[in-house]
Amino acid sequence: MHIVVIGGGGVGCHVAREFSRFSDVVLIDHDPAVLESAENELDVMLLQGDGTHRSVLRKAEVARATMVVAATRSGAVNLSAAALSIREGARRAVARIDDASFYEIPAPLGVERNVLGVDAICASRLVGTELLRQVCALDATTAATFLGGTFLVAGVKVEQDAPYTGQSVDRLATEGAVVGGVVRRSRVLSTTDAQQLEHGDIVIIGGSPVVTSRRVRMLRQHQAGSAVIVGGGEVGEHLARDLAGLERRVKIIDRDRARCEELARSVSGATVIHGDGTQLAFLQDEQVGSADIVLAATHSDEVNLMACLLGRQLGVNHTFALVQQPSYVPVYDHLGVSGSTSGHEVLSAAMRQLLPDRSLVSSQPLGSVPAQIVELRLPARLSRAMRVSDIALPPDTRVLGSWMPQSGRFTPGRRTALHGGEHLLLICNDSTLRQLDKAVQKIAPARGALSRIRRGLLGQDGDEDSQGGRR
Amino acid sequence: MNYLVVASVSAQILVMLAAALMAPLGLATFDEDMAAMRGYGISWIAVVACASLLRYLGRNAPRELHRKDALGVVALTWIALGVFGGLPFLIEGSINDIPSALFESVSGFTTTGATVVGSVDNLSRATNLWRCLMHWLGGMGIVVLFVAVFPKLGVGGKLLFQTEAPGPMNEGLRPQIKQTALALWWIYASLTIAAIVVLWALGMPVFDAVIHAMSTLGTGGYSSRGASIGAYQDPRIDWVVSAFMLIASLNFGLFYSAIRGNWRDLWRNGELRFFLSINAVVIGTIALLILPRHADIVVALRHAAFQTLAVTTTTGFMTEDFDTYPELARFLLFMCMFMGGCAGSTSGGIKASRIYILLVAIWRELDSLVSPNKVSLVRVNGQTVAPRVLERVAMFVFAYMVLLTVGALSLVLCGMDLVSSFSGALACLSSVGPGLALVGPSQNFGFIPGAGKMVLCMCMIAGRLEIFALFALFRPESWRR
Repeated sequence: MHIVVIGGGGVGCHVAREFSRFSDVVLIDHDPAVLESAENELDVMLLQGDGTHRSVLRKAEVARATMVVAATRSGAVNLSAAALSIREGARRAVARIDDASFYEIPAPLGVERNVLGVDAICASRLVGTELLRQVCALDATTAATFLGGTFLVAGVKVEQDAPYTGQSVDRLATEGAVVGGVVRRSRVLSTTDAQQLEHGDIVIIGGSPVVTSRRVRMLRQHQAGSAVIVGGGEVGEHLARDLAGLERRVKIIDRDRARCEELARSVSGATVIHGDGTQLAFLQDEQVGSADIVLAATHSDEVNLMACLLGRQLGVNHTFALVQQPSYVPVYDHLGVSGSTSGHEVLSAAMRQLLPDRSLVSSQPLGSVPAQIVELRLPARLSRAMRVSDIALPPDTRVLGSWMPQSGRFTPGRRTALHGGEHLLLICNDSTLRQLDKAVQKIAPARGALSRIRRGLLGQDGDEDSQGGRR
Repeated sequence: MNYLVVASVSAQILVMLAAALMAPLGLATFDEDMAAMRGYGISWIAVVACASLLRYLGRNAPRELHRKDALGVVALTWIALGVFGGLPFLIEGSINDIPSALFESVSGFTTTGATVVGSVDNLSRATNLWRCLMHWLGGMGIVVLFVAVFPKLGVGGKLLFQTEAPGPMNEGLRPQIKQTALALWWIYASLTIAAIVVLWALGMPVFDAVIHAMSTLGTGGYSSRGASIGAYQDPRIDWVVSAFMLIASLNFGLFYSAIRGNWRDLWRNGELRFFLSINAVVIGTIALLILPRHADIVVALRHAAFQTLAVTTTTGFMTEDFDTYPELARFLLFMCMFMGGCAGSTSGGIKASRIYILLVAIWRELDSLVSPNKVSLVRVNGQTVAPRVLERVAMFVFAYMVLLTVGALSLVLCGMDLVSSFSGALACLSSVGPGLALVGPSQNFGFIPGAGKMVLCMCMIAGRLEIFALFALFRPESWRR
């Protein structure tokens, strides 16, 4: 596999390092000093030049690249470099565009497909969702996001006196929530088999991050409390919107007056406070100590760490931080911060999921039983019109639903018609994962020998994913 | 330096040495040569035992390899190679004292080709194979081979590669260092096979063809014949060996781009053109100087080309004793010993690109004296040489001179004359092999006392590892954990 990364900053280097574990990587940057430091840290080929110049892209052989990642600070540079790469023949190009207002897709979705033939990736949304997942994980046995960050799946243990105990499982599946199954006595049961919720069950619930979080809290009888967000940047704004639907009271603190006014206009349901989140007196004044959670999401690691530590000092039980430098994550854990999310890691994981060759997009073990939640990508073309029930799925596989990456529309259940390139969300046993993968690959149309040879010669084998911009 | 990491990586490299020792062991068994079987068998057991011990010690080593560890691995591995490579000579009885055996083996692995054996014709076939196999492994580098063959080491592999591979500016051929190392070894092995086939087709016995091909491509210089290539008395073999010596002293990265279709890179390369021009001038001059000794200009040219290439590529074969040439020819060859081949090749010496960079830098300095405000850059192969690289090149050349002085001084203290001392030390440092006068092409290094041999061993390893890697070991910081 050949991957070209444009921009040797924090994100670019992190992505290059992660990808170099399984692929050839060429890293392009125009600054020799950046390349010199990368030389000592990365096992990749370095190329000095401007990533928006076609001559440089050709030199990096983007024509045979499986993916081009444009990860400089500037969204405009990234978009043009990625679009040029597609025109030069790259199979897929991803552009990092941090400005959330650029996107024309519904909120939690972090990747917009086919903007000028390029996938635009929004760090703030992905990071916000990841922080929300960590907050949700406080009450859950397991919590993982799927389908481009739009879908949160969580397992919740049912206590003796929880609501819905003794009632039908299906009653949980309202307001857009989906019940994937029930883990009872080390077996994953379907909702019909489980019938009624019992004490000790683990219910697997999915839905948009806010919906899932709300269901989880309801089952755990977790009362809505208050949350404080330090840093009113794009991540903070995203978090404030989501948490407003979960908590009784949300405060968002920012140092910049103008930004605060902007936030007050755009975010409803949250109190916007102007001040410095690293000043103890200010935090005491704002009664931050009475909050249930503190989330620090500024651009500065020092501020985030300090805000979390001060929050703990004031008596907040759970603090969460956005981390700029991925290597700092263990330090946060060591200092007692409940959860930390590195933007670089979230971005590089999301980019990895966009690699066109893989049918297995991601998987998450359930923990208490040898089963996994699995996201699979269907081939770009299907052999015939079919439904989920037409795929030869291994026994004990539970289907949560299917998802179109282009529109971000999720359809629960197994009855809907499938399209090429669609993603499936399933629960399967550890032992049947490979079988499942094969069953999904089998539904691609059988290729004639001639077309296979032609594709082999042209080096386009496996070019399955729809790439509108190339036509 | 993390000793555990060094132990575990060195153990794996020693496993490769053990694998290499199987070749002479197999040949000795085939020849039913009991002494050689004992020599190589015991050495093989010793290497395997040492590798197992290191493996056991380094069983809990962290996976990551840092710069200090890479320096430690490469320098210590090269010292270990010298020790274990010389063991069979001692046990077999072909060489009787420890410094001589060490010298012979270090000279083998560093592709120097300076020998202490008076009559190589009397050596067993297994020993002759081993001597040339050492050249071949040392030529492209056993550590580079390790990076190519063993599972992905990531950045650690890159550090190991950079420490062993010669040249002031090493650019990767492929995105991953493992693939770069693999590509280099593929090219190297293919060229060796080509050389074997051609030499065999020209009537050389298969065994001779194999060992001379390995010796040529590694730019070593060991031969199974006392008269070296001259023993075959075949002009075609002379030309073919000359050609392969030249090929082995060029940048292998250029061959890689040529294979990928960029033939023009070969000619556009400034270092290559510089190297070829110097060779052409020296060959022409020497051919004229030795014309009176030969029947016609073609014969003179053949001998001049062979002797010159043997020295500039730092191989050290011979068809004639160049020590008997006129003074000017001797002087030119002595000067060529400094330069060596191109960066990224298997040859030693200061390297043509460093000399070229310094000459261009001197020219720029003169320029800036005349017109101080003029902005002029040092450019090689169309790329500007960064000031840091320039600095490193200058320091390298100076360190080279210092080391040469130390080496020559130690030989003078051993009672040798000035010409022999300087040419002997330089021949070892640049991994040429034969020097002038007492250590000339028809002589050997056997008479030098043990202490002198040890200093020369150090010179050879330092020259092969481009000086700094070896001496970094002597700094206490390198040993701190």
